[in-house]
Amino acid sequence: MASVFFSSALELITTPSYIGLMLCFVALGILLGALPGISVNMSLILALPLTYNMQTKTAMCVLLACYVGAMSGGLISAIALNIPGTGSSIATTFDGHPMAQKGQAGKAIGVGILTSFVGGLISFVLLMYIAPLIADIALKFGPWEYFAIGLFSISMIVSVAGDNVVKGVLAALLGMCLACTGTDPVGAVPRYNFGLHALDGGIKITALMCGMFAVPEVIKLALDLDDQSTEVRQLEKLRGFGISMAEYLSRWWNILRSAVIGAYVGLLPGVGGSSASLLAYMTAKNQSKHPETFGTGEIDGLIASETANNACIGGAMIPMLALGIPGSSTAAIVLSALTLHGVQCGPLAFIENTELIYSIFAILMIANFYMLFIERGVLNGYLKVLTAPRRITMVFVMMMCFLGSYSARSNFADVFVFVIGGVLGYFLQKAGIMRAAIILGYILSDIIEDNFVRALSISRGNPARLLKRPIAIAFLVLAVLSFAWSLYKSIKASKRKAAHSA
Amino acid sequence: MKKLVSLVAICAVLAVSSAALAADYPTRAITMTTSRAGSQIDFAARVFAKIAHKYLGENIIISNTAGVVDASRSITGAAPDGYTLCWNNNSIFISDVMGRTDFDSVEGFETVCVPGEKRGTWIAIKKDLADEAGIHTLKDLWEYSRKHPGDLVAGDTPGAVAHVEVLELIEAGFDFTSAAVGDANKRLTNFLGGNIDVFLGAYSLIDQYVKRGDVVCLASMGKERSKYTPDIPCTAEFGYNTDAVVFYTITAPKGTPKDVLEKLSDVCKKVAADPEYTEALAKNMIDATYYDLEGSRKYVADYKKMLVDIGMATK
Repeated sequence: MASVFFSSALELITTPSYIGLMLCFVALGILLGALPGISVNMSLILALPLTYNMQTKTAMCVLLACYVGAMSGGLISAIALNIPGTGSSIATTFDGHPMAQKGQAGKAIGVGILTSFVGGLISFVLLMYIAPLIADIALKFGPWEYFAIGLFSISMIVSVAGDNVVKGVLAALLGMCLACTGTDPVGAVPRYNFGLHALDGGIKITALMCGMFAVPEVIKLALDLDDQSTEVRQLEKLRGFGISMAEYLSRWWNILRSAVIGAYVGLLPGVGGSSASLLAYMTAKNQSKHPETFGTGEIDGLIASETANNACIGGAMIPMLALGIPGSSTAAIVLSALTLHGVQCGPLAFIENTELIYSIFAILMIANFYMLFIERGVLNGYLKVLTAPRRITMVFVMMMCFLGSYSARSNFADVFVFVIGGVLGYFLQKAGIMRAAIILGYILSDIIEDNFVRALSISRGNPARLLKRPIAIAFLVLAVLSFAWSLYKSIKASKRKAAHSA
Repeated sequence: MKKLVSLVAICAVLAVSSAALAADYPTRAITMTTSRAGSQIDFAARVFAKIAHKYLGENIIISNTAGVVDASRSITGAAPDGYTLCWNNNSIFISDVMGRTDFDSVEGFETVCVPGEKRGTWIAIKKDLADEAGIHTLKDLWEYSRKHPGDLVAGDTPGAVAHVEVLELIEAGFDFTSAAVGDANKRLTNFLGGNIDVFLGAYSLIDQYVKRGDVVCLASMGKERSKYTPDIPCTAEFGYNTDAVVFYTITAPKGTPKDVLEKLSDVCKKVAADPEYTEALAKNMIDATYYDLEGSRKYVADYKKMLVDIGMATK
């Protein structure tokens, strides 16, 4: 088996057309991922039509190179602009942007790139060696388990949303409410659309996220045109990745754990990069010796988020190849490209399509390396762009956001969501309510509600079936404990504040 | 006077140029809206777009929307000049009949063609269940379900064709509990994971599992055996009058000129005869079909009527 892998890999790195194609699409993926308003899925959809007339292997080169690039590219705008380029980079803004504000933009991006590479590498190794073995885990997770994981994730958001539990819960619930607009999961009946059919499809995440993160930046800029204090700066020229090997490897436990979390969440069909990076971040914060530094520019937070979201790629490919079930919505697009070329994925794919499967592994590995070099290569150039006045760069960003919001579904309502969500986001930020918590609440709402309804639908409305599912119960217990812990910390913090001001 | 003459001249030129435009149709790329990216409909639309390019001379750009209803709705306001089309499937008629659209799915559009049909949904259960309950044929399943009413859970997708299929089986006497599980991928996941007992869906999804022996396929829903799985009996052989069809439609906004529609219909005919098209679809067990303008219009009208007749209307 190893020989098939190595011969595929060798062919890929010695054939000029493959080299050129992969370099090109990794670069394109990075660019698209970095642009706010264009999600990872969108990047692949843009590349998809180009793959029609290609051989299957070439098509995979294009799509997977784009996937790896885009997943990693999101960190650039997350760190530099505080606007996540993709949903999976939301957790990167928590510590990435504060680092940039402290004059460490280059270091933050450099570390982000390195750790994206490592995360991807670990998950691709897992993919290659144990995919068929662990694919079945994806099946053990039924609706009750997803419901429990969703609730657990909400409790985690609350714990990260600052010292004030009330505001954290408020943010998460607000996000969940926004997600309820659209069609209901049982009867597909439109709801909360206020009679506007444009909202029948719900409020689109891209528009909302861009709005809530980008528009407040613009409003702030408009109100404080001469304020230079929040400019992103890089004080020294960046050497290497901005971090010494020794320092990076000293955080090996964080890296490994985040990669495993990312791969594992990617493995579960129905949850993807955003949940992966969030869970890894939360875990890193909770297990850290100095959790209070998280959110102020703590490198461990950045490492956790970016390692996990790239590890998610390998994880999502596992059930896709081994079971024929895509592990994330992005993997679904890759799967449809394979279907278009007449390739069946599933348990027999490893036997019937060995050469292609191993080529896919090789493509992922090589694209990962290309991503590392390209992204690091353009880093210095990119930092120079950042020194341009923000009032110019923000205009461009806003343009991209408008286009991106509309193009997701060709629905003009999304543009309104972008603008209105943006203004709302500005005031919410002023009120100290964490916007990322709102967005994450939104993402988790589908998982929670759909699966709850599904679980009850299967058991004919009888919730007692839950008691027979140990994994689900375990997560629910964790959710309760996590929430209780946040509550306790919050009460302690307010007592401390009261004591100090007394 | 001069102004009037120039006004008339301008109108004449415009009229002539628009007629000329119609004759030269298409002169630029056409946008075709469809459902979500990565779905079966999207796949079929893209195959069509790729092949149609040869005969049309211009590109067809696929524009994804949130779902079948959005895909159709987004062309209701478009200019009827033939540069905006919609590729959809029969779920739109189900949604219409169930009152979920604010437009008429048949009368609100010009139906250009029915370019593909997927006949047959396969009914499968896990091997474990088959052995444990002694279910070897569809008849056994029927008897088992009646002896244990409501025990067997069949997965469906709310408001979609899968829902119709499960209802048809329940009508035929299978005492299933219908669980709203979600799209085809979710049904497969939950089926393999043991959360639902009966899987209704595309054979391509369970093909590898049947080969491996984990899954037993009991029948295909239809009046005759599917040519893709000639060894698997059809429901008609057991006496159940159930049919399952997914078909695709290409529609244009109401008022699109007749010659544009005819040109499109002609392209569809050529595409349907193209072996590249038929083979690409056949790999996913979809039959390439061609119905002319009148035939297509009648096809969709009859289908919608059938839905109302079997009691799906909730308006």
